[in-house]
Amino acid sequence: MSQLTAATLSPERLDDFLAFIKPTSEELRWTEINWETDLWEARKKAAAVGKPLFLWAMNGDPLGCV
Amino acid sequence: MASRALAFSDPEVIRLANAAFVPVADNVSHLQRQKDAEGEFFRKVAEQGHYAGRTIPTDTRQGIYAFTTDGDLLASINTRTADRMLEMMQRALAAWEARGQRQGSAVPNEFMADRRFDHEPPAGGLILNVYSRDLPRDEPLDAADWRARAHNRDHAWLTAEELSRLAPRDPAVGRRYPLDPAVLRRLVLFHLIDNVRGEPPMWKAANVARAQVELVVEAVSATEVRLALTGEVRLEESGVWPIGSEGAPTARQRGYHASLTGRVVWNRALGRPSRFDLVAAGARWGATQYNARQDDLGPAPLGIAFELAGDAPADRTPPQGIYAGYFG
Repeated sequence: MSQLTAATLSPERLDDFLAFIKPTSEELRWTEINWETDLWEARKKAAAVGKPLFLWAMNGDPLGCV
Repeated sequence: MASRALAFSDPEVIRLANAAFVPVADNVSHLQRQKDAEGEFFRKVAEQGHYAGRTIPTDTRQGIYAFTTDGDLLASINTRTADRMLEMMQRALAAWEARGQRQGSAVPNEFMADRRFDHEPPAGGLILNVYSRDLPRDEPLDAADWRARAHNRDHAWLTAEELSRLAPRDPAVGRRYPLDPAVLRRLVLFHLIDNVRGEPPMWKAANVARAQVELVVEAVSATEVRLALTGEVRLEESGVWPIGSEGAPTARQRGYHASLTGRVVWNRALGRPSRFDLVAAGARWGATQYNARQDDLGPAPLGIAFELAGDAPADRTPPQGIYAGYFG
């Protein structure tokens, strides 16, 4: 997508910029994992459903800015 | 960020994570320091894993862990690649089978939580998704280079009081008014930052050479008010700091000059927006220690977009700047 610059940003082109900047569906595939966001709540759920836990632990929130 | 693009986007990783485990994502910086049962539980797991006992080069316990509700480790790894992730998951499931799929079922419902790391969105406020990505360049990077596809995400939080001031109480077509100063400060200092490839420091008030966003009422009906946003920011910092892997700080500059355009559709019955779209576009330059721009000092175009967040648990993830004076 060409000419997405500060000079071409306008109300008429707002959707073009949003479409370019926002993640694509392919880039959002990791959100198809049913991430719990609290380890203790996930632990309780795992005990209830009889499954082990799978923890993604990063410096910073893995589901936010990293 | 790269993990999201690689390992956790693999179809088999996704399938296995959802089918065979309870997947959870959390901030290891918190888990390692929490003085409560949750922190103790994590540390028990982590000290059986890939970074057990490590202090050099850092004491991070960052990684992916599969474990039982008793805290018995099944497998762990720190990787960004799908094949290694899958191998670890299969190892974990083999260990799970070997113990007859048995684990403790008695998990205390509550515990005395270390509140230093608890952050919830303001009640009745507004949550925005925030996305950042480099805009097209005259000389694009190699498409195979991960940096060409780099992007990041964050969340912005507004309080209920700030939200109530987003639209005028007596809207009239053509009326102009400035964006609430507290909201402007928050968006500028904490979200108009170059985090496309990593994590820079937030801006400080002294870095704001210009920041102005104005709203204008474009249409009014019985059910909604349509607002347009326009603005400009000029953010500049000079100082001494290291970039990339260099050890010694050196004289550096960074900045972002951008135009802003957006729209809000305000639902008058609900008293909140049904739509919020805002884009900042302009030139960024410079690098900071952890934003992976040491080979890309610019100036180069950067775009940042804001939209209404949804209702998923992940949408309640605190802003990156929550510990940096986010609400003033």
